[in-house]
Amino acid sequence: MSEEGLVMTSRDLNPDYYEARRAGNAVQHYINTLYGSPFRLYSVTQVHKARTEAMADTGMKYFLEFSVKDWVGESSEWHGSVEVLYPRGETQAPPQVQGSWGGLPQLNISAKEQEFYQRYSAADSSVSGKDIPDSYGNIDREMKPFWHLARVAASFVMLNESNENTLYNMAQVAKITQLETQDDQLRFDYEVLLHNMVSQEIIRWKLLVSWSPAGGVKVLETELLPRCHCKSPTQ
Amino acid sequence: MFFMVLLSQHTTCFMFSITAQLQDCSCKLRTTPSTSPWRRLFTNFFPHSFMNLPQKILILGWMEQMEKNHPDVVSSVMYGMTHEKRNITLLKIGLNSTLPKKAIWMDCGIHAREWIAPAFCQHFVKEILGSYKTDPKMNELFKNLDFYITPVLNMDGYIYSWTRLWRKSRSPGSDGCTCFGTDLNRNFYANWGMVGISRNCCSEIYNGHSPLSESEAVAVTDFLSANRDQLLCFLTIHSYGQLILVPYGHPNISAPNYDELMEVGLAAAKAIKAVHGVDYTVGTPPDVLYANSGSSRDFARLIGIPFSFTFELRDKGDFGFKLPEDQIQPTCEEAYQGAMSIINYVHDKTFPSAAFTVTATLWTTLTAAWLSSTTLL
Repeated sequence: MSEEGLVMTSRDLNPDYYEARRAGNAVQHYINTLYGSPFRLYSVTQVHKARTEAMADTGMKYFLEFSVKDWVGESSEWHGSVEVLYPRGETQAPPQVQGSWGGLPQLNISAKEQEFYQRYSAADSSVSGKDIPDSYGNIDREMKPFWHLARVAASFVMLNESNENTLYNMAQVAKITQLETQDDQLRFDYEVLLHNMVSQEIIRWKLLVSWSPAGGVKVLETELLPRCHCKSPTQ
Repeated sequence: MFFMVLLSQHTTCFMFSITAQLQDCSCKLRTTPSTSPWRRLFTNFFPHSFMNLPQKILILGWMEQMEKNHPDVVSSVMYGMTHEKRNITLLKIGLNSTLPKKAIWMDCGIHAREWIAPAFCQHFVKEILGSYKTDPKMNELFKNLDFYITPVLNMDGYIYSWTRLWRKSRSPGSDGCTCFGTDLNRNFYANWGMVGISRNCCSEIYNGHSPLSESEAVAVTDFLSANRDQLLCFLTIHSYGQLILVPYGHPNISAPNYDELMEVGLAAAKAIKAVHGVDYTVGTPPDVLYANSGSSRDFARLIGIPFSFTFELRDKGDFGFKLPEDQIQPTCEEAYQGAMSIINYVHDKTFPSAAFTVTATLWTTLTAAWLSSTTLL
């Protein structure tokens, strides 16, 4: 038992169980905020080892050994280790993730990024879309990089919203509208639907996102949209 | 996979299966095949959903087609109604018998947006009907067991989920709450209301005004209760997460046969992985997912059905509920092996003489071969 914060309680976790899964999920979001792109998305495929320690004043720290890969680029799996600190407190604050990512597979996507950037930075470019994937389970080939971009942008929000009682994934892109390019950054207005597995809720967020090959993905503004409590008829 | 052809409004015909005899369809067609598997699934179960055809025209849905094509082993049983007054129907599949038979229950689509689940029920039915005549093991299952399969339990929600990620039923809120729907999988008489629920009717895990407030949950409860002595196994199919869940959802309550359930679940996960290399994790919900109460799986176990499992199919969140079409078939294939692993175990445990008969026959054959070979010498 912990006494006066001097002795830390350490507990081994089953890496397949919910605590390690949720922490791994937060790590996935973190990695995507750092390295995600319209042509690169990471997925934590497995947690191999997990341990947790109560940090008396600061919060709950998780130590994970895990595998991750870029599944858009179909990279090989990479083994890493990471520390995730969920802060103590009444209000939501994002977990702090610490790891070294030197070995993370980063396949060369500069040609694809450049082509994509050139194409959509044309003055008259005005991409728009909704419901991606659609009810047919389809994502148009042309829209795939925009869907990847949405997932990366959503990762910023999902990371911010993560705590020990959440497990976030992006369920769907409700809307995308291209805005005027500014400061050489492509800009988009996104509405994304996030799914929190623990509460089973679908949460709608509006995101203002910029991207360029040099600038990476930035989320400039976020807005939580209210739930629609519609009393519409069934059809 | 059956290809159900969606007809244009200008024909006077109806949907049919290309693999069935074409002479069944006595009309001329001008058809536009619906290529999307998800859309085909919807039209399989709800032929009226996308058409403005007059009601009097006969529409053969997929379930009716199964009955028609396999009248000796398939019959449909209506066992309840949804809130919006749709029939809840299961397919009873097995060789006819004069004596009461043991049975396996499978339901899909209790949560509306988990579309891969009804797709799996459809695949499962197709597989067992396609193999019972030629596969001796399946034939034995058909002889000793009945399969009760509900391809879409939450029909109201399923239709509503075509244009939104709906989970719950479609009953209206009560006590002044204006939102719709109850989480059917929190509404059963199984530690109802104890954990993993919300009392806010707008929540996705609202467990209902009271236990069994939902007609869909009542339908399942009544059927399970009436057939409790026959039912050996209860399988309920969901997505997503790649999990096999064993009772109970409450962290402080253990099933008496937990060890055996885990063993059977782990064997099923192994069978799943052997198909396409996909990992499924096995455990109780409080261990691997989250605590919950009022689930159909827990209710089944509580009333004495010994083997009760929840399957959470692909994926782990990359696409979630909107699984790409090219993953439908592989997901169904691997889940089929997982389900059959459990069903075979349950069958062989209940009918051990069958295994003994196989072994005895083998020894008889070997002895005969030895005897004939020594005679020759």
